[in-house]
Amino acid sequence: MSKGKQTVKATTPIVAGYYRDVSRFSDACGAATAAGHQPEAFTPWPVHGLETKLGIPRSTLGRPVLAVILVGFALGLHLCWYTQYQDYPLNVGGKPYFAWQTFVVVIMETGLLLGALANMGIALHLCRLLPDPNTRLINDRITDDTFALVLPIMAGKDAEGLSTWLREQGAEEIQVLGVAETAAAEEPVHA
Amino acid sequence: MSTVATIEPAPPSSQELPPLTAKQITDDITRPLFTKPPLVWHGAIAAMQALAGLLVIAIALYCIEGYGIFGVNQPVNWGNDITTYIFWIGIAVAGTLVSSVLFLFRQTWRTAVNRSTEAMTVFAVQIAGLFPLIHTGRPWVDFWLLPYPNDRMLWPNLKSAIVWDVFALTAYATTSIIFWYFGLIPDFATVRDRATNKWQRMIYSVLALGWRGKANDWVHYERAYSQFAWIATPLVIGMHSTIAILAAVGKVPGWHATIFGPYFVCGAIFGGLAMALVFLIPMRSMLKLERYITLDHLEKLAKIMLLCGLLVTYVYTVEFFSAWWSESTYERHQFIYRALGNWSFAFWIMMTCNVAIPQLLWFKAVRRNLLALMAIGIAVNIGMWFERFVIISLSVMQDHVPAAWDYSFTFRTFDWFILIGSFGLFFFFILGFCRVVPVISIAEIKAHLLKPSQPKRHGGHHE
Repeated sequence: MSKGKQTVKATTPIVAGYYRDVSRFSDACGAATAAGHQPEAFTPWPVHGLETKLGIPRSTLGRPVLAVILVGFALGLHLCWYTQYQDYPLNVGGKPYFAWQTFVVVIMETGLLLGALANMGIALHLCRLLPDPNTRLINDRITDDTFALVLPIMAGKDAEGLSTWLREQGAEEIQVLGVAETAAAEEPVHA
Repeated sequence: MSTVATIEPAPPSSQELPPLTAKQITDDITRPLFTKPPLVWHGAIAAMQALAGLLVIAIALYCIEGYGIFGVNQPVNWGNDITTYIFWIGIAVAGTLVSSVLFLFRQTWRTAVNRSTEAMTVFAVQIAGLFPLIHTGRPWVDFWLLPYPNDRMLWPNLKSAIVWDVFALTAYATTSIIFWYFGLIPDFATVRDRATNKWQRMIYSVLALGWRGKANDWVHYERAYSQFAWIATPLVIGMHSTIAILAAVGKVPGWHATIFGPYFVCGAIFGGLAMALVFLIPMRSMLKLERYITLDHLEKLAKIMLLCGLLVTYVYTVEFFSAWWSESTYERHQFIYRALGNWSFAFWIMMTCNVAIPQLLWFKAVRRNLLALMAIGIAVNIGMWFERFVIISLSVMQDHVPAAWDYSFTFRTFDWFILIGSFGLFFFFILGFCRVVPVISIAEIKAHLLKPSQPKRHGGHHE
């Protein structure tokens, strides 16, 4: 990333370059990052290696989910101890009121169930996913066969220059979105 | 999703077809969602709905009349409902094997079938869950099984294996459903962006949760998918092992065996893969997906089925050996009773369908013959239902109290209703699934089929 990185807001105008060739698209992503364009990429399927080229860090999903699983184990253990020993000790064939081996299934299932729910919830939060009946993408083919490389039009850059740069990187189609004079003719931007 | 590999080569007949493109894949897989279903589909779903109606009738009558409408009796309290419960749990287990265990073992061919087998899991586990809820006798107070502070100041006995099963089933069913849905999110987005009908677009838009395919999101998505697989694997093994422990901790002759855990898991995979073959073969043909769900995929499922069939055969043998070795009169009697008693036909159907018939899968010609595979799948399903019946019901028929031995257990009309109705409901769900959900993971299969080939890229550098 270049020095003096500027913040890209949701309202920042963008130039989108569309690709069908995944290799060319992947190379363009690397070039955009190297040139300090602060690119965002949209792909119909996961492209491996792209995260390195775009400088995307590893997902932070692992540790919170592990923590929830461990807390779930503790809650399961506590449930067993409280209900079977503390609150309602029931003599079953003279066996001990509390023996952790008896409760392995309850403890494991509680921890893993909470872990699965946390995994879903945290992943949806990280991806900012919520039910939305009116979702519109900058291009509907992004979920089909088209890759989009999106460059924000930051201070000191212009749409024309970025479009030319994308064309040089092999973009098959270019679209400028969110610029005052063109915005009226376009569909809502959801990028 | 983090694994990258190619799908198996297409069958010879399709090798002359033009190479697949991303658009072609989307078109092929989403076509059933945007076209009118054929007449045969309408006929099939109506028939399955009628069969599912039998289940509804039986449950309604049971709520009015009580548990006496079924053929259970003392000491055979565990009859058709528990047998069918374990049968459907077994079907569910195989789906998780494909979605999670094969994923963790980097078996990338699973991509073609994982969505369908996960659907099988979700439907089978819901149907299975009905049976213990019926079995309690008063289903309207089934919530007493859950540990919550209540005015009775009682807690469920967490030392009981029955309550372990409540935990195992709840955790497994919930995880299977959310795992399946999570995998569907990018595909729902694909359908959303192709929908022309306003309502269809809105519904899939809600289901897709605003998915945009952003590179950052794919990183989180793949990580979460992988973690789901790690979480689901112990859950699925725990699910069926818990049912096995439920039997094994009892003193009933024929149940009290340490081999029950792996025995049940192997049997479940065996039966579940057989069920997968039964519906995948007509489904791929009906939806014209032969290019994606190839004979190679079906053959691989058949090979795993054969392996599990051999393991199950080994356990059948070990059970007889252990009974003889135990020197327990009751254990020995139980196994003689299974093979030669008044319900011996159940045992011999089990042996024929689970031991003899699957041996045909040693032959490649059989493994690559669709009709033969389907017939074997049906046979194994019949065999696996009888296996559970033999284990559960025959064991309690002749327990440690000879005075209570029962010869009067029968299969009544409403036992047939809930058994046949459960199959009707399952296939009703499957037929519905084919028309509203992409039956193959679109994003995943594109990643595998359309990845840039390595030799071409290297070649390009040398030029």
